[in-house]
Amino acid sequence: MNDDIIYPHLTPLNDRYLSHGELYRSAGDLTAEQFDLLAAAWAENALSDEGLAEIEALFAIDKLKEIYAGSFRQLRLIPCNDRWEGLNGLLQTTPAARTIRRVFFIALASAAIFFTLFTLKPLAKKQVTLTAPVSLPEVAVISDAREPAAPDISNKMEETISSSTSPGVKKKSQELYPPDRESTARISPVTMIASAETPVLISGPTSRELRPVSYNVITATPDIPNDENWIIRGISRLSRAPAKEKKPIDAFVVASAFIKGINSVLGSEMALDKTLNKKGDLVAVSFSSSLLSIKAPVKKNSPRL
Amino acid sequence: MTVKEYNNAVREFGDHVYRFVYRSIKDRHRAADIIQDTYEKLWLCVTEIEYEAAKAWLFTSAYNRMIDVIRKDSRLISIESYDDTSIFAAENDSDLNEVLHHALERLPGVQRSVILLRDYEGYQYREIASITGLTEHQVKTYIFRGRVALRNFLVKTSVWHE
Repeated sequence: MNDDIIYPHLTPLNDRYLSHGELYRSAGDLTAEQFDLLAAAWAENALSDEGLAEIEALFAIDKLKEIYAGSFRQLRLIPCNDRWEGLNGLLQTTPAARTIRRVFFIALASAAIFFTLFTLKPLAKKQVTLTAPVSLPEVAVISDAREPAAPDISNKMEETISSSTSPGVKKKSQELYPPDRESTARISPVTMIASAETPVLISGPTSRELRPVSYNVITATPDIPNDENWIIRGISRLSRAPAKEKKPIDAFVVASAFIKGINSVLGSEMALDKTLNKKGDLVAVSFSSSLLSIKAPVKKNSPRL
Repeated sequence: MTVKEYNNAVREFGDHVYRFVYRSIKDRHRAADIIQDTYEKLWLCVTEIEYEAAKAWLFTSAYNRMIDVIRKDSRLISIESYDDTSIFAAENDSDLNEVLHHALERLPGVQRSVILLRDYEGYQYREIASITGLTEHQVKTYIFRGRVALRNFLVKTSVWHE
């Protein structure tokens, strides 16, 4: 038994299609849609050799078709300036950088805490006292106008002036500066002569050489009572300011506040704790964080924290 | 891919992927969400992806995510149902690129995406096929059909004359 008997199969007969030429498509037979697709592919340089030959044959027949196909090359999109604003939000930090940053901040915070503790420890011994109130001397405002005029010399001067000046001037002078006015002593240059420090001035020119001077009217400054003078009032208040009570600085409270501040800013979980014995005396101070934990015993004779 | 390379991928390809997605769906917020999801996905498997393949991976992932979004929200406008008023607004704009972008919005989603990948990023047909999950032949067909549609659109709106 051979295979032909077991598995019978058909053998093709010699049938042939006689008109092969009818199946071929010429370039001129392309529809407009087909030509568009071909032109788009040509503009993309994506045609195979066969397609390229076909379209070149068409271009050879009609030059306008080449121009038409060339217009597809202009249909290229150029990227607009579209920017993604949330780009930086997706950037990640490396684990090493994150660890370094965390260690750095914790080390910095620890250093700051210990610095605070060691700096404030000696201060805790001393009691902070504000300076004692300074009692300022009472300021007395005394007007020059109240000073008594030197009677002898001024009288002498008046005589000299009256002898050397005309009666009109004298009258005017008397009108302006009546002898009973208190302010005359202030404006009269003769008052200076009356003082003990100025004998030299007196011994200079003789009374005959003196010339009358023109006087300007100066109204006396009204006396301001001490209660209304703000400068005096301010100074008096400052001098009477009560001294604050002696207040010790609690270093532990300061350090705790500092740690609390760092925790709120950095979001870390650092803590500073006191360890007390049964009597309630401070035994040790411990600092703990995610990376570091320190416990420092406190000596009995050390100042209170 | 290291963290540094990941950050490079964010800086270097972020805008590219964004504009591809944005021009495909024409919605800034949704595009931003898609990019966000894509980069989160990349970050989750950052050690498994090589930097050299990151760009293609990003485009593929963003494209797939975009397709999901589009399927959920079937508000796509077909080329036949465009609004003439917006076209006439574009007609006044002499910038052909601007008009082309207006025309692009009227293309079907796949055609739009492959044309964007081709023109914006200069990808080869094979690479576009890899990103979109199509065959190379399909990509070519979509691109050529898209170009013809764009041209017909410009002619139809009298921006271009035959």
